[in-house]
Amino acid sequence: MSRINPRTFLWLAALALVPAMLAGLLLGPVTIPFSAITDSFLQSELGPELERQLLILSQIRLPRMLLAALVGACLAICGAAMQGLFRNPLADPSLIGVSAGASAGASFVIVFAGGGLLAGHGNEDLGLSLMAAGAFSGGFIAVLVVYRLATSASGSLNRGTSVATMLLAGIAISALAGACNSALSFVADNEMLRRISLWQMGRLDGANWSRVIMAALALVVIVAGLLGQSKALNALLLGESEARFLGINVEQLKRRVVLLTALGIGVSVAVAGAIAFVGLVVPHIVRLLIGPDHRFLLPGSALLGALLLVLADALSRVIVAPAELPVGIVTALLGVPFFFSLLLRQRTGVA
Amino acid sequence: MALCAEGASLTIHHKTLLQATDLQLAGGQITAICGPNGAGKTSLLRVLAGDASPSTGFVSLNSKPLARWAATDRAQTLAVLPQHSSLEFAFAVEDVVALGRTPHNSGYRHDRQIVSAALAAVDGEQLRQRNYIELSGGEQQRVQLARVLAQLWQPSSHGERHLLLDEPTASLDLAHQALLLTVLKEIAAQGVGICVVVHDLNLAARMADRLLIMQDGGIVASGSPAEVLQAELIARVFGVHADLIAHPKYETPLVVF
Repeated sequence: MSRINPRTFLWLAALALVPAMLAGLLLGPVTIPFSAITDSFLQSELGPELERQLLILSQIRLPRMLLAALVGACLAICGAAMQGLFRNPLADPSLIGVSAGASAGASFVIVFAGGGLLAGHGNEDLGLSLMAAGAFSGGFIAVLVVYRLATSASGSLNRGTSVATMLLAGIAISALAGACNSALSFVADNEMLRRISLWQMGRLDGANWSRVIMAALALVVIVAGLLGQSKALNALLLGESEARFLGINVEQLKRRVVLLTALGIGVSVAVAGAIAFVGLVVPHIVRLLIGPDHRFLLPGSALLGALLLVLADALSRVIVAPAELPVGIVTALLGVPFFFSLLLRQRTGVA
Repeated sequence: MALCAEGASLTIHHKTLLQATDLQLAGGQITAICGPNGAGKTSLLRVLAGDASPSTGFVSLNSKPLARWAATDRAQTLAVLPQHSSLEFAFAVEDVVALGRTPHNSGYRHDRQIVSAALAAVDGEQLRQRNYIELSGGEQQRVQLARVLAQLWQPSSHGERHLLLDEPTASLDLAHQALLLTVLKEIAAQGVGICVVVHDLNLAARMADRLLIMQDGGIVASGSPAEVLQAELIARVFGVHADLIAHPKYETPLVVF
């Protein structure tokens, strides 16, 4: 098998993140020269132009770029872990209804708890935390239901999860969540409606420092929690019984992964809406490059997810400037061709 | 010191898959289980493996109830090769075998040596770098066998080791069936207790120290292959008229039909 050494890959992905992050800072409707960053450190007297550029950097670009990196990493690592849990490379948060469940949870909070919170601007943090909690609960229920359905349908023989049931359960849950969203939109007022539609679309233009901090905290918890489960997730790929025969506490593992991925998707949805595709395509690409070993797949997915979303967000700002494309369109445009080329190469390699 | 079932039965959805069964599997001994489809062979194996908890009775490993074992300790002592494996991720073969080392903390270098040795034992050295999901069914079965061999490679600090295999020969060609026979005899000689479900009565007779025949969820015959394999029993259990002749080379009977 022609694969890259996993450690080399991790280093390369981390290195590539640096220029991507710089591009995320400097590109946009107002292009900022690299010298603005260096000048701000070197010059004691800042001119009005430089002041303006630095304001854009610190208040808009930097939190947005960091949010893109954090959300990208979060979605990709959760996608990878979820695919391990379901023992199925098609398990993507948006395909199996987790993102939809999370947005329904967020909408619920917006409509029933948000009225007062969203009116006053001083309560942004509390509102955001509540929304994250709502999204987490919605996502958590969705994962749990899909997992139960998909594993019980395959019978008592422990032959893994059924793909068909998993995807069908995902469709059902997405439909249910969609109905909830519609019902909530029906009772919502204009301000709530704007918020709800924003959350469903998945975009990063609402970035601010409280969102960055929340996403960072979530990512730290998820990475720390999931990396410790790498070996167990590897064993789980053989099947639940096989993992048990290898000494893995499967129930505990499943509980942890379900909780952590629901947390990751919930927080991502709360801070940036439902950005599809990253959780599916990034782990796939990483697997094709370095193989399915979770010890490298999980951190590799996090790095590549961050890279993909930072680049996609930077592009979304320049393609149709001064307007912006929703970032989901760009992630698809960036990811799909790459994914196809890898798939094709893999196919010809097999033949 | 053995893997023991005492009055262990298994009932799922009001259907008795396994009647109350007493069984003692000793270290260093190969026990083969034969029987028609649906006779309860896999259920017996699952109960012995701790994969299904018995509805009545209990199972103990080295004098300690199976349920009371710590998961890793048990995995160092008892390995199971299920009938089907559903690995759908593109691991390299050596990484699949290395999964057998999961319950051990013996270090990367040492594990790699064991992986090589286990692969060599199943005639799989040339598969080492291959993609597991591109292998044939028989090759995959050998790799999975290497995985459980790697799991039990060294003596356990928790007593006698036991290996349970569910139809390990199902997709193997003749040469590799013969190889499996040799491998099982070798590890039995190291003191590992082996319990294997096979369909081929002649293969069972050649490998087994003890042969169990199962029917309708119960053990109907148990003993040395020569004692158990009788035309009358085969007719009663399998509904097939068979003749028994002496093996030209070995002391085991040969079933011909």
